[in-house]
Amino acid sequence: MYFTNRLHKEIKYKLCLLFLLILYNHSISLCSEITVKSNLDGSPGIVEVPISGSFDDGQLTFSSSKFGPYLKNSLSFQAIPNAFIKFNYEGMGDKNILYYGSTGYTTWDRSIDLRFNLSNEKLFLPSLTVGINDIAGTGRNASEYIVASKDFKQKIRYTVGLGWGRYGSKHIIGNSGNRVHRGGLEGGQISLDHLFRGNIGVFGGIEYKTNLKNIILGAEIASDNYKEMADYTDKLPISSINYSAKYKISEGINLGAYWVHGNSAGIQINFSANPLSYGTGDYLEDAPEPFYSLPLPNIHQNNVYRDKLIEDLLKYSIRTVSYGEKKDEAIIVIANNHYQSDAQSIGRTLRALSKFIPIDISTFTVIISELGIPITQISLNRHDVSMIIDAPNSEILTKKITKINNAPKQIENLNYFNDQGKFSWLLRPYYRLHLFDPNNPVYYDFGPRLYLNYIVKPGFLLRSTTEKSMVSTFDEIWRGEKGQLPHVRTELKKYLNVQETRIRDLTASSYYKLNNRTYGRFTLGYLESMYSGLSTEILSFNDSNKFAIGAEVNYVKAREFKQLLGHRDVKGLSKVNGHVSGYWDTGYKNYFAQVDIGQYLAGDKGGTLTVSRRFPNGWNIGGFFTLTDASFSEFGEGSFDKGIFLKLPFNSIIPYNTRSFLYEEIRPIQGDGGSRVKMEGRLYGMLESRTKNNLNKSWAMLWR
Amino acid sequence: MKKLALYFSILCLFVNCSGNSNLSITKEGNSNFSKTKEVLGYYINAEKNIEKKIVTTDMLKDFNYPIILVETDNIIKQMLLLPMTQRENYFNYTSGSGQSLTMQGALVTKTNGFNAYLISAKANENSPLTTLTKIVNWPLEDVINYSFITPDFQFENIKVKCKNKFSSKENVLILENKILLNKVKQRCSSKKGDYDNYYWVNDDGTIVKSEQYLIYPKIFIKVTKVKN
Repeated sequence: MYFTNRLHKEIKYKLCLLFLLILYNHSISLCSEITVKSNLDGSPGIVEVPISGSFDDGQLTFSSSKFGPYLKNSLSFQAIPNAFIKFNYEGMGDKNILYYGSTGYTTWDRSIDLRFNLSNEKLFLPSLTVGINDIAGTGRNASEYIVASKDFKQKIRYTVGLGWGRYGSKHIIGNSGNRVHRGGLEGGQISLDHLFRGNIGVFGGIEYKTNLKNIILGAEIASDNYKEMADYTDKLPISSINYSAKYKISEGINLGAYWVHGNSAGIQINFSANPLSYGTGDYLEDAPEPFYSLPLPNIHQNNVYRDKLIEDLLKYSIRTVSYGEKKDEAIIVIANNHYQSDAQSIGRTLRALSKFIPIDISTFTVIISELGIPITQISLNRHDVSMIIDAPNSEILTKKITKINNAPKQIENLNYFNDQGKFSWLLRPYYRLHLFDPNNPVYYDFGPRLYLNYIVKPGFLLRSTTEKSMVSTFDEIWRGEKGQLPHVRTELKKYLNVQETRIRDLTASSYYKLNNRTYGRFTLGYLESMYSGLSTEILSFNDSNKFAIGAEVNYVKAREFKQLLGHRDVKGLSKVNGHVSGYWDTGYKNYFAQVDIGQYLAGDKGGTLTVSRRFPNGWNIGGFFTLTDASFSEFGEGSFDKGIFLKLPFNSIIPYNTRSFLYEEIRPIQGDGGSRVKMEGRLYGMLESRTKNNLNKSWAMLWR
Repeated sequence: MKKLALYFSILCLFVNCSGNSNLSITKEGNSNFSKTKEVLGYYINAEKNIEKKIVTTDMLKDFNYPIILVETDNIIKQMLLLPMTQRENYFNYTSGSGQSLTMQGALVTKTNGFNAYLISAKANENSPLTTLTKIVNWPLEDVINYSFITPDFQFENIKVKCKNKFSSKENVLILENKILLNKVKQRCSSKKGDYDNYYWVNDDGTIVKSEQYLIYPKIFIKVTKVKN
């Protein structure tokens, strides 16, 4: 006992010394060459303890680490320079109970962590960060901390911090009140009562950047005694001193090796990408022709130039929807399904117009469309463009001579080119994942998917998606109904179990424009794998397109499990459901907010808040939660509906343009409360990227 | 990482994605497969030392246009470019393999297909790079303002301050001919670091050959006037 107390005193003394070193560090450098690396949890840190500081703004990181009886996976996002959010999914324990037999880990847990940078490093002062772990989960990892870090001569970084919860279970130096036990039967609730309460532990560490390229060594004294894990493993820490060696393989891949708890080796790999800085380039995209001061000669008889124009645009993968001329103006409506930036498709169209359109036509008007519906138009004088096109900053100069407006509802005297893109089909492999079942954390399903689209006339679309499982474990999914609400979603497993050919959706949709800024939609058919019916929607943008308001009403019936043409009854299903929605482009770092208020499928009433960061190059990272009048116990495990989503555009990683992307939505728990019809083709998602607000954001791409 | 990302993206294209995939079977047939093969070919060969082709006067004799030879240290190693338009002192050059660049005198002001994302370069008004200036009258200093597009489609402006230093006269091989030219070393400083550009100039100030960074430290370009 005497020895233990003495050891504690020694550790406290050393940590205090470390803290003093930080405060009186006389390094004159303000920028660090020791980059911020992940700890085993995937947060900025050494081994287990966190450090102060942040990743680069916008950085998205997937981290996976294995040590002792633990497997930690996380997906994190540096949401703004001072705020960091991380979703964790961990396997823990090696006792042969619960899920050990099927997965190799005693239990599995999901949680969310947050960090906020309070101040950056200054001449004599360290940077300061506050963090909260497991704010919405079972509470197994609940802990809070405040941590300071300071660099010394760009080679060494000292860190010292105070911790509560799990971080306050060792090296205790004080107490800040009674800590309420975190967590509840249902889990998933956000709890604040326990924050920064209870015993206060002190932790710290040091990192050293070696002369060996890219390797950073670290040592730390942790303040987590892992007592919370005693139910799941007997392998508890025998030492609180941990060590790390981290190696940067490339810009986006980092490896870490660890010695943890005095009894376990660990390894970690991180993959990161940053939408603000990551790009492969576009060197396989054909360069555009110049903007011509004069059109090509000898092509203006018999209007041959129009065909040439359409042909030339097709080479740029731009489809001409319609074309016409009035007085001295050429008007062209285009469909861009190739360039991530509509500004780029407009630039290429302008170049083609300059090549073919007779010189007596001086005004070029290009209209961006979706399904033949005109969305945004730009107009400029060709002669003005030819005077500035080669000049420095020609994009900015062009903006000054360009009128950008919401396109009118109807444009007279245009020739509609009916044949282009009227019918299209696509056969493509698909994958689906079903995650977070503690008996089997990953179920998978692969197979072919056939898309059929037929544009009957502008705005009127017939579409269907059919698929069949080829390689799949979805038939093994067994977790189903839960909670006390009508089972409008938790019978999902009976749909997922089906591996035969099934119709994912089969709809007829009519899109229309009521005025320059207001759009409507009417959809009839099999809307998604679980529901069919009627859906109608209206959406109106304000003049700047930064705000929009919309409303949707649906009448639905549940589809049969086989997902063919039949239906079934769901007790308590609210057949009539819908929402009023508000959309706001905040103008802050490309953040968007969406609020939906209305009645959900289970008849519960409430609202959904979605916040996302939509980068102009197509990346989209965000999260959502729904609170309704259904109680947490009625909802069941997870307490309320919430999730995160990620859209990764292939444009960033393939050296030519494409609008293809990968979209993943991660819902920790699927419940019945707060559930909406998941249909394709909702107005805002379809139109927002074509608006003048979005066009302005990628204007730099105009002449690419 | 970029290679890994490419392989990952191809894997993803084979699995679930939305929009118009480049690897799906469509009514357009399999032209997209050949594009993908081309992509992979470029990546696989990117770090190999590909032997450059020797361009001769004989090869260019049938072209009645000025031609420039461009070599880079990036994916596309070597290309010949023809002028498509000229407005004032700006020339727009295009290659047969799909690259283009705009030059004002000897200054590369815009690029397409070079992985440089250069959209603007503006030198001092009396810069010898953009205005024909006898070698004896070259100023000692120059300032160039570059604009690039970032991966998230925004403008990035970089100001570069350069000092010109006459180095020596040397024989330069243009095609198969050796020409005696003045070598000018341009020492440049920017927020990205310090670097050197080189220009080979005849006495009347015409820049016959240059080696310049489009974006330091990533993309280095050699431009040689091989036919006037």
